[in-house]
Amino acid sequence: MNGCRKWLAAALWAAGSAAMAQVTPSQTVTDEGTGGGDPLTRLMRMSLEELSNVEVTSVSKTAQTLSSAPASIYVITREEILSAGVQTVPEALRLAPNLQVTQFNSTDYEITARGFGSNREAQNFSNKILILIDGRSVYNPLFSGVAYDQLDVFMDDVDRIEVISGPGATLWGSNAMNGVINIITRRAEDTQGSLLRATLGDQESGLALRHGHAFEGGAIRAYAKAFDRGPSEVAGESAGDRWKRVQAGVRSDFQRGASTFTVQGDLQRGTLNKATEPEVDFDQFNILGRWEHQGDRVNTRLQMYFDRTDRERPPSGIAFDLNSWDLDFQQSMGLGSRHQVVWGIGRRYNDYDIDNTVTLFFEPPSRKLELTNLFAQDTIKLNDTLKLTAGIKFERNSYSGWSTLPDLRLSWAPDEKSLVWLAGARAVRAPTPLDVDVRESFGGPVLLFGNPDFETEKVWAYELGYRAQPNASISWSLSTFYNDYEDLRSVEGTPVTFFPLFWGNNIEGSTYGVEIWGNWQATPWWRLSPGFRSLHKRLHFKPGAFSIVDLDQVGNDPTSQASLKSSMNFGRFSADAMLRYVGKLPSPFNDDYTELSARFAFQASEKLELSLSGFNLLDDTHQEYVAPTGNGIRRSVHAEIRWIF
Amino acid sequence: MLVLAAFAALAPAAEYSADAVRATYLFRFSSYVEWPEASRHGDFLIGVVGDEEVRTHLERLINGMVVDGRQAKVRRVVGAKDLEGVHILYVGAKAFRSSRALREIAIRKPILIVTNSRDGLDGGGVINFVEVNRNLRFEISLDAADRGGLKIDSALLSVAARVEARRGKS
Repeated sequence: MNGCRKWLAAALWAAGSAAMAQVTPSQTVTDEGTGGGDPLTRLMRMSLEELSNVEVTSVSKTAQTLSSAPASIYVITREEILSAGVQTVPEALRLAPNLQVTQFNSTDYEITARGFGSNREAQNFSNKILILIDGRSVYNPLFSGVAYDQLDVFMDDVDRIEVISGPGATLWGSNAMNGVINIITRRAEDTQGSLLRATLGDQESGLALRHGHAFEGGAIRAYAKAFDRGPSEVAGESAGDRWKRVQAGVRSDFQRGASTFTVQGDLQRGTLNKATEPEVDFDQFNILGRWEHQGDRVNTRLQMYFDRTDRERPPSGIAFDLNSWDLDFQQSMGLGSRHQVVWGIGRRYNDYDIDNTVTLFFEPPSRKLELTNLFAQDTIKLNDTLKLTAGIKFERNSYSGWSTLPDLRLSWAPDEKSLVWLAGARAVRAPTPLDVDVRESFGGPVLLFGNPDFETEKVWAYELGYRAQPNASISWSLSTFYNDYEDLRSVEGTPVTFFPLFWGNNIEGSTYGVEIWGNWQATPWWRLSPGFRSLHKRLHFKPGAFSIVDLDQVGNDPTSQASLKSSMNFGRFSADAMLRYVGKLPSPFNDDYTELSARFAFQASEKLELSLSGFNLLDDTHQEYVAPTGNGIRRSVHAEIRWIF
Repeated sequence: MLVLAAFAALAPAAEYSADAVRATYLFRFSSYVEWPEASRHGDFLIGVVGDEEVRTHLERLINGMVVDGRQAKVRRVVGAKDLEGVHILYVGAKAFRSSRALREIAIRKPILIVTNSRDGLDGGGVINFVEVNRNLRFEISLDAADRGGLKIDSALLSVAARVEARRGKS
């Protein structure tokens, strides 16, 4: 075989020529059998480079490449997580250009998409984004936020994190108002053998061990990990805060005929120290079972989980026991040649008991909350390039009754390399005990009351997006959005006496902005990935609102944010870096900042990797949220050994 | 529900199953590998151990194909006698452990052994499939290629996710 023939062969394939039969030099391949546009033929016409860029699935007959989902989705891959050297889920989420991540101190984060990323001064948490780990919601139904200090997975076993900015209410339900984050771990058969990760750093240290084992028809893995992070800074001094956590878990996947069963669970215990306040202890336990059946035409999934969280002696949050039971049933099927239908029904019980304190209490302190939903979605193939997805969910919660959550998406794929989509959807945030039952005081009379008539916060969200992969080395995505909000939570006062305050629903208005990101494989060993997002808010008070606090009470958000990721691979060496810019926060004001993280890794052997990672390298400390709510975040470095045995 | 599943029906193009891509690669490898003179006669045979899916795809796609002027064919390999005349041997993931004896025989022949297992290259594989970022890539062992008397073209090496260098004379 010589080079010339090979180049000719490659050129012929690249051109997708069907006429190869006439020009076959000895080493080329003649195409006489297959014809038309079936997948195998298309694969055969691809160059090796193109083949290696094809997205594949081993899972489902109807699953497809991400490039065809008509929504603003960024996927954080496992490789990206590992090569960033991150130790925690919130730090991994910084890799998504469509998320806004704010770190307050050593242990405390707020994360959102498209704004409303909390305003702690106004008791507002990032409450418009939903996070799921393998289908289990980690959204806290008590205060409608996420306890990021409890959010943990075994990093090496994460398959991917799908980050959707924009509403996902029809599929995921209320609270998926501005976005959904799906953390998906690998199936047990993909995590065989033993893996040890030991991390030692000036701020972060950890030890993680996993072992996976296959058996006839399935596999199981178990892991345990410990993590410790040192203090943030106040006025040049250590703030004395510390984050300690241990977690262990098991997952097993096994197959019986066309059915796949998954059983998984995790156990967690952690401690948060804050210098000036008592220690917070938390325990968490969850167990999940899932049955998936792949039929010829109908795929069925039944999932159940139980989740228990116990949080004690909080400095500023609430202490509580929370039990959640969730049952979810879904089916998807093709109807005729044009329709693909998904429908489902789900029910969740939350049973909680809050330890009231003098300054923060709930009336009643315990309740049983129910959440019931029913949804259906049809994807209609209008013609070869045009598809319409229409879905609707009906959801009932214990406080405000039924909500209707429709979603309509039109997508146009003029060719296989680009997609345009247009979407309109309605989503809500359901009331929680913090909205309805809360009482706050400084030890004397109650200063803030929850509102028994609190209404769901609502949004109509519109999106226009474009995604393209013009060639094998470049891909990019652009989404623009316009969101119209109603009944956002506001702080209201009492006429004349001003106090007590209470919650109202007196803010409304719109937000709009752009999200854009891309990937450029500049050379075979160097990839660059820029990202940018902007957010503009045009909110106002409704007539009659008390407007004690400014409009940024609903979320103190930067108008712009940008990032540039670089990933280099030289055989055994790899170098990764991310530069990120976050614009200023308006009220309370926090200046803009730029930070850099980097990691160098050396693959000593197939089984052993050594790496050195640094975070927030540009400053000794930087402030992501203004003091006293936010502390200075220190520069940190750590060394890590990853050993497969 | 996962995003991929949620929008399952919206693909503008058909999805590529990993098995179809594996089958395509298997056939395409033939253009980038030079076999010793002695095995350049008869049909061009791709043997498959224990992977029905890949074998079915292969049979569909090489129906009527010609490699180096020879008819391409697929053969189901069960025992050592089936290795006769085979140019490429694909060992499916599930058959990897049970095929140890077979692999040991194949290693001594001019056969391009392709595996799909974590320990593929250690287990005699010249090429081993790996999934990277939802892409199907492959790694190559130069030692294993040398052992079989196979010459691998640099164009194939450049696309490989990883090339295991020669460990020196032994």
